[in-house]
Amino acid sequence: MTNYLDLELKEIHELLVSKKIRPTDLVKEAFLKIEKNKLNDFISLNENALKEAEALGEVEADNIFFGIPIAIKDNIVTKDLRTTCASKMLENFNSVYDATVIEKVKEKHMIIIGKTNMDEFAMGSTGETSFFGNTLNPRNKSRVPGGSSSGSAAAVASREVVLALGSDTGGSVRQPSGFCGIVGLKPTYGSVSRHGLVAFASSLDQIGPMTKNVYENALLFNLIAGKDEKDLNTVENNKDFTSLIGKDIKGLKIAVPNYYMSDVINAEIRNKINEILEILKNKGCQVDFIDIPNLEYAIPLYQVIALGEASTNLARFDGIKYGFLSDQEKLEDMYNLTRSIGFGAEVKRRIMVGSLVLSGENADKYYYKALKLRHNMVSNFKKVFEKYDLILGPTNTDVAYPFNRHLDNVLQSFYDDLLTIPVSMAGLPALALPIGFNHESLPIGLQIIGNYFKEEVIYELASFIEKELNLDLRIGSDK
Amino acid sequence: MESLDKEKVLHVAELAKLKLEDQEIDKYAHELKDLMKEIDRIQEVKIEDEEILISPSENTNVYNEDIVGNMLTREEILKNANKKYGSYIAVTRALHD
Repeated sequence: MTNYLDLELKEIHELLVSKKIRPTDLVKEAFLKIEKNKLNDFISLNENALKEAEALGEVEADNIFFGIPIAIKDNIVTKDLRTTCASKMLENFNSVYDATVIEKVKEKHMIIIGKTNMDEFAMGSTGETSFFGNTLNPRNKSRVPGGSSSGSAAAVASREVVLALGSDTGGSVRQPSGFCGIVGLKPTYGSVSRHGLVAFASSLDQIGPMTKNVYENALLFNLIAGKDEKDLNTVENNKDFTSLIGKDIKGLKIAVPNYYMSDVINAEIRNKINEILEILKNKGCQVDFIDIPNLEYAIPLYQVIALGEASTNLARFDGIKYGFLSDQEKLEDMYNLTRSIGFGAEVKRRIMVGSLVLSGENADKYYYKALKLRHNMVSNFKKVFEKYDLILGPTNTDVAYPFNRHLDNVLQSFYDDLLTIPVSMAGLPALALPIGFNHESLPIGLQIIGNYFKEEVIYELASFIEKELNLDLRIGSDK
Repeated sequence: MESLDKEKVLHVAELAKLKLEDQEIDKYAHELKDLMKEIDRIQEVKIEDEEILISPSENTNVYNEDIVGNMLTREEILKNANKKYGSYIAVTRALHD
């Protein structure tokens, strides 16, 4: 089997330009790897991928993304390629339009290999809530890949594709990126159009790039960021986010919240982070440990906001216009049975909690209080960024753990996102970067949090650390 | 948070438009109680500031030009509907005698 997908994007592009390889070679390799690896990381494969690649055979490779295989999380709609959100509810749903990010991907002649497995409606942190079964972590198949963008992380980590798109509401790009050992960005809220992203929590959801290195992440972010009249929260963004890659990091001011380095965090992870901090100090960065108030309330805050918004967003699934239908004589029975059969346990639990916190007097008691706390949290982060360029900490509290570990603990999926949720509440950008492995060869991730719309500074530091560590992140090469 | 009794769970399920089996009611009563215990922690926070934040977006309001854009065709709209009647989506009868 060929191994072009292990190469860097630039190298693959050069091979395509010089016609040493063709897009069909890449597509064939992707499908072979997916079949061989058996990670269950795709829900649907694009049956037309090879045909699309063949059609590119005679065309000049006019841009860096030309002919490049990409994987798309299955909550981003693709015309004529099934979008299930890993739910029975949408098992047979075929969108009649492309998401804005998909239009951009297609404009560049990338080849969509397939739609990746995920937690149902992006609700979960292990991939285990998928209607289509577990995604396996390519670094150790007995471990969870993280979630909810489980399949996108697994597909990039195992080099089945070059690039992937995921979505992040409370950590769903960063957490699996950390567990699988890849680079994943949760962009500033408003950077990337959500048009065509099936909504979970509208004030938090962002689509993010998932790649094997920092430069390719910035390139993919360049492509998907920008204003879209179909998502009025998006802003004009014509920056080149690779512009600071390779620049001297001396003088960067870095804050490390004590909350991110507490005893709750696995000691091996903390040690690894401390090693990185030493390197940065030696390179002339200012590194200060600081306190940010109220971070310890980020999880209940997230639960009120995200589940409240989810209960409203998922009200659209009524079996009528699209999705699963349990046909009943009485209207009320039809709604209730359609949703009870169509949704899995995690989704039902979450929309019930969301309905509860928004109902009657609870709206004041929980939701309004949460909105105040959210404002407070944003103010606290803004104060930090008055003095510092970046905030650093781990991505996850632990490394990838075995399947079924937390089946009885309904709080675990939220606690897995302990360190990613605060950033989401504030709408800030953050990147998960692999910085090494634990004693079981499981990846450890650093989280680099930037100021609003300053992703280029995140990439500046991330690329420096990546170069300094020079890790071989290919599966099997970490031993 | 008071413990969730059966009646409360059924009320929440009704709000969420879900039908729960008997054995599910106990399960969800237990799980929702665990979740609400965690959520109740936000009552502890003392915040002086009265301002609220609904969305991190700081955009001002935007008005679109009132022009006809791309629209879905009838076929496209009907494509994913489960029950059709001619060129309509068929729904369960809402009013009874």
